Amino acid sequence: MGRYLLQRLIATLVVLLGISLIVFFVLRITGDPVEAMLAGTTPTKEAIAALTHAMGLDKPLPVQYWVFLTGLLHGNFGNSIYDGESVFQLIRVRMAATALLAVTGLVLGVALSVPLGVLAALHKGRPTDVGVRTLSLLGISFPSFWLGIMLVLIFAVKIHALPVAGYGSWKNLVLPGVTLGIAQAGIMTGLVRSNMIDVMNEQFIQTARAKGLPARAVIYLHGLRNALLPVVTYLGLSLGTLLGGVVIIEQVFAWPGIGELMITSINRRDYPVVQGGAVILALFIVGSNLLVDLCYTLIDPRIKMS
Amino acid sequence: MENGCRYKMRHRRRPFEPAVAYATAAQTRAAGAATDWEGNRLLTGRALASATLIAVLGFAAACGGGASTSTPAAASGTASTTAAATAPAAASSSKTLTIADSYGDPTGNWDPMETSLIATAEVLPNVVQTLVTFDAKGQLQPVLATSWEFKDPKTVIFHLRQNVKFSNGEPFDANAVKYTFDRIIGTDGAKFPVHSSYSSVASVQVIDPSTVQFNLNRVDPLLVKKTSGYQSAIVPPQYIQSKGEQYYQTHPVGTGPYLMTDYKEGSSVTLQANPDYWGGAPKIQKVVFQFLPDPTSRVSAVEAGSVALAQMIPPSQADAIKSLSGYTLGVAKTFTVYFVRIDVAHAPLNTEIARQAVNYAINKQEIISKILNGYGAMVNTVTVPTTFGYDPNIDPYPYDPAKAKQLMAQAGIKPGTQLTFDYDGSNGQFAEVAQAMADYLNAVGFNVKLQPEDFQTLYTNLVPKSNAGNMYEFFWGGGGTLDFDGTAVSSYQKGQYWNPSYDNPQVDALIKDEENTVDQNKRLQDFYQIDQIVHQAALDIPLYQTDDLWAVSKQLQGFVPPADEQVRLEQLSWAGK
Repeated sequence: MGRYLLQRLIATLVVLLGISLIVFFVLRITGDPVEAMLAGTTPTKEAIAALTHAMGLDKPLPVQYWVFLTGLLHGNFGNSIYDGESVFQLIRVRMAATALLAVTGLVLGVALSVPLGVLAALHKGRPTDVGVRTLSLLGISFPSFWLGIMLVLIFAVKIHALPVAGYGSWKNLVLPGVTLGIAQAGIMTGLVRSNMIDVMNEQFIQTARAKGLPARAVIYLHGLRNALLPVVTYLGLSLGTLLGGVVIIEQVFAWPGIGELMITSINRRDYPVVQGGAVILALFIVGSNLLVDLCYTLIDPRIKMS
Repeated sequence: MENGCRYKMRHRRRPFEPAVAYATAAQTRAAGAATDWEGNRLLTGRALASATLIAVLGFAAACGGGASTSTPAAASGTASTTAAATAPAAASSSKTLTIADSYGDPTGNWDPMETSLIATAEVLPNVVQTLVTFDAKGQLQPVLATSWEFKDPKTVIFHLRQNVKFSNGEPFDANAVKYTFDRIIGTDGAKFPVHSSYSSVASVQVIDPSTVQFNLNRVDPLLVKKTSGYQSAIVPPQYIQSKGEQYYQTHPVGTGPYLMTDYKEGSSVTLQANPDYWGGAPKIQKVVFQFLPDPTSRVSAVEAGSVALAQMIPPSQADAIKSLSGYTLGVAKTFTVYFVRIDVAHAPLNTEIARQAVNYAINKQEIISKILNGYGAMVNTVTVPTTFGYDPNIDPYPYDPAKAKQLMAQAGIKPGTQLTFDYDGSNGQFAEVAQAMADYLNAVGFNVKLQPEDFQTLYTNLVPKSNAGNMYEFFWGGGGTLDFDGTAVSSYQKGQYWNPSYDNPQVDALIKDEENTVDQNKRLQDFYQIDQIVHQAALDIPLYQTDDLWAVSKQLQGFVPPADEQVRLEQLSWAGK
């Protein structure tokens, strides 16, 4: 276990180093921020040269990369070149908002998909199953921006029950959370259903039944518990992606998340924010993958870390 | 959504005016124990819902734990800093004015010197003030300076308004002006764009408490105009010196009609009326700028009645706003012109007649009426009429495809000759304009190849290196000084960043001439000459001056749709109050 963790840790460091390297250089190939910063002024050659120098962007790239890397090792992600704000602070605030939204969506997704998936599996081929599968397909098929806008039109514009967009109170969380939850539930319901069907055909289920266990015990304790393993994988992986990828929902609901910050910063070529953000997001994704693996051992003791 | 892209893009327009906490093992086991064989009797009696509960609790705690355990901290942090919710506050019944702000988050630094984002430009001028400002007609008006004069071409004197205090009680005087500009021209300011605007300033000198003198190292006819930019707003020296630069970034203090009382990263900023404002206390007590960069969200917020003002309504939604009983549509003529710039280095557009042919081939009026729904105005050059140096005597090239064909023949351009046309691919509306232009040009015999590009790549990599094809999209707001100098230098002077190819010694001489005199009449004549030369050379295809559309609550009084996106809050009041 200890050795396994150590290996994973080393692999994580290699991944992070790779990401920092790629992001750093690719970003610089596609343009620099100086021109866009000379806002409200005339970007003369002299002004551009002076600003480039003042920001240290005229130093050789390997030197700039070294400065960035040594900063990282000291936990210093640098400051936004647009306004000098600390990158770590910027990302911390935005990451908290995105995490809140992502977890709400996933929890809603699980809350909807597990009962629906089990229900469909137990009624395989019957109208209930067809109904659930249709719902699940709808959930997957609605583009989230469309679903979000529809929810806004109904709950904010028509019946004034919830705010159109924004961030701050629990009311602001409802619509984006539900939008994300529906999409997640759509995917997970199918997953739970098919796994549940597989598991219920396993021999140990027959044994449990033969022992005379009540049907519910067989379904929930033996069946569901085993059927959830792939769902855990999905959750762990999607948590990582959602942290960086709920950007469409963030935009529709003006949710101040990390995705929105990253896109804005990429467009501005705000190097420190993009670099810092990419490294931190990578850390989260690698971290959530590791968590999934650790979770396996807890759910299924047969799996050993090796 | 096409318009969405365009409107999202516009926050970048000013450039052209240029801890993972793991669930503890105990928690995890507790969650796991619920499904343990030993505990099953507790659970077997329950319905499907209990399975859900197990799943939700178990997963959130054990496996999704990466974020779920960090969320309570995040959520509580949010709750403490975000007292006021952005729930629908009916504009009519509340004294709070909520404005749907289209530019998004200005990112937390409110030190005027250090910012360069248009989002900041909208909010901050209500808190901090400059020496002078431009009115809607492009005329300079006094603010903190009551008058100004060029003592000689290298010496500018500002007479300052008296009995003005910063909102922390500190007096505004010549010392504050000197402190502000010393900061900008010093090493602290070098990392920020505004620094380069004042490269002509050698020193700032206090004559007496209400008089300040700028000593220049070269003639700078634009100096007074430059001080109108919000980045040159006067800051309180004692406050910054005692509290520190960093504190000032998040707690800005100025002489303006409003105080900044709350800022929520990425979400909103709240202003309160400054009761001691020198111009009289503002009528509206509390104003919230809610950041809603998505145009659909802004329109929805208007339809839901949760905002009293919303800017940048997409032209396609203008009629929807007009049909609402509680709102009117406000139209502002902006300082921004959209045009297509021609790279004179590349054949076949390397001759004057060929470029004129291209100009004759485009039906600009139809683009305005069909694609912009009429919300735009024809322009003769790339500057707006309010710009100093705009020549009203130039007629735009009319739509005349026959003439275009004739000029093409004269230039020896064979039918089917390819033209490459680069534009910002994320700007949905301009993509339509580009498509229309391609159709017009193909109709006279060109073969246009449209090349959508990434915004930043286009303007930092392709254009400056003469790699943006025969022609490319451009938009320009005059460099913030409403003076043709900015346009002339950055676009037509030899060797400038955005002028990789055009080289005309006559234009360079005229620019040198106008930059070395403070005789504004002489400068105007120089500009007229440049206008004529550039028009004749057909370096650009001027398309339209853009309109900015606002949804305005009928409850709100005194709102004039601003050309520069700044809402002058002190002019506003609620109807019947």
